[in-house]
Amino acid sequence: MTVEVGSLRRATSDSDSAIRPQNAIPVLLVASEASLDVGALTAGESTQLAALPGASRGALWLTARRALRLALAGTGRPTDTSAHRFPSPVASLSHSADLAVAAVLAADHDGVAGVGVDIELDRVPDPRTASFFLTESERGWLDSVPTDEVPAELTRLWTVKEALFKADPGNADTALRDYEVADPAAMDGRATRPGEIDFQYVSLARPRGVLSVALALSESWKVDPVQTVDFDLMASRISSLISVPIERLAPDATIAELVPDSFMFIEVAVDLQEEFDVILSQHDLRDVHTLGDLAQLLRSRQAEQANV
Amino acid sequence: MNLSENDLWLLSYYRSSEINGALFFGRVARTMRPSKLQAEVTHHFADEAQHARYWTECINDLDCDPVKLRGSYQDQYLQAAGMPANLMEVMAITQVFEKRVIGQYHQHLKAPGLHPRIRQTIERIMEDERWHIKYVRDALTEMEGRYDAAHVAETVERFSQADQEVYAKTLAEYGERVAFLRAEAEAR
Repeated sequence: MTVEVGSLRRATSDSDSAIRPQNAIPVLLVASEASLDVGALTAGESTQLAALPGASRGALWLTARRALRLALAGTGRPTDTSAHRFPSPVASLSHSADLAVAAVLAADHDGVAGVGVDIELDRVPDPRTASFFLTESERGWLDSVPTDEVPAELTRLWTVKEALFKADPGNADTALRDYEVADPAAMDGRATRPGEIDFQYVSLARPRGVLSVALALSESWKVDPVQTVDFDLMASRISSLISVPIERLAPDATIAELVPDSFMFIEVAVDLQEEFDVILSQHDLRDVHTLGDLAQLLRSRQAEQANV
Repeated sequence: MNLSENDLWLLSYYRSSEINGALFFGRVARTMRPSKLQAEVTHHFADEAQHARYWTECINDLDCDPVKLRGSYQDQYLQAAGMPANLMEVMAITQVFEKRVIGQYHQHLKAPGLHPRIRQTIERIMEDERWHIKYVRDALTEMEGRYDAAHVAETVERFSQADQEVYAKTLAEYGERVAFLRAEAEAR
């Protein structure tokens, strides 16, 4: 199955609390209860298997590697699993009971610094351990949860924290409670290791438990710039809003003729401000007569507001 | 027919304004980036469309058909206060308008001899209107960082003044149709 983990984009207002959902990032999830055939291992995989202590550990490893192989193949990647080290910007593994799950980004994404997955089946963390993996505010929220729902919520948050940890490329010295989710009640949302790195995650209820997938966000993604004002891009957006062929939207085209409906003009104005991350005032718009004027205004406001 | 001509006109005016509100918020919603506010504006858009339906049903239940009206209260706002130029101004004009709507419906509830079916419709709509006021107020508070708190307050004030002008003009224009409102306004 494929899950979509909400992607993030630079905030355009203080009210957006730093990041906001934009386009979801697909992650392919593959579950396996069967093991990979030892005879099918690559040289690198054979070396890794040989280094594992104990037969039971080896059996789990083979099950997880089968899930990972299938997920890599499903996303069009080379299937030698030994090429992947964890934390990985592309893949993650988890197992619970006899089931292994692999999560692999459907396509490479510059904005993703790490992928993490965790599944828990038939197991509930001891509530007394909550202080080891939940922050104070998360525990405060948990205190408000009806008693009969606490085990399920605790398990879900455990998988979220594990997925965050696995997704974090800088997790060497971190503990699970170093990660904080923005809304502990949310099945999908934002999380952070404060001051270090941001995440997006999603949790899925499964028949015997719960599974969570997390993406760590790279700096380049977090500062994904808004569109730079370009006349053609502006005209393209206006064309789709007012259903006028783009060929008619020349720089000297008069706005009053193109958009005679005042409600429609509001729609155009708000849309362009959202798209180009600028604020226009009534006063600004009073002096705008042509599309060329509008493009120039958007450009100058974008430049001014970027320097604030 | 259970409605006087004036009552039918007024309920049709409400209906027309709700339709225009739905169209307005639908347009705003589709310009916004996905966000909590966009979800709320979309909800608002759906509420306004439902309210128009409630009025249609109310009028029909009173054995009448709605009158087709072209103008609406919102149209006059734009003439009086100018077009909202950005999302904050859209929220500011919405706050002022929603307060006016609640005030209007509240006054209508006090009209003597109000038909129970009309009362039921107004009370049903007012439940949603209270939420509209709250989410818009919260949105404006959150926007204070980006747009400057003083500017937000000035904008709300500017639209409030326009609202008073428009309301006075509406009463003057349709005084006979809404006599119970005018009597109340003059008593203040």
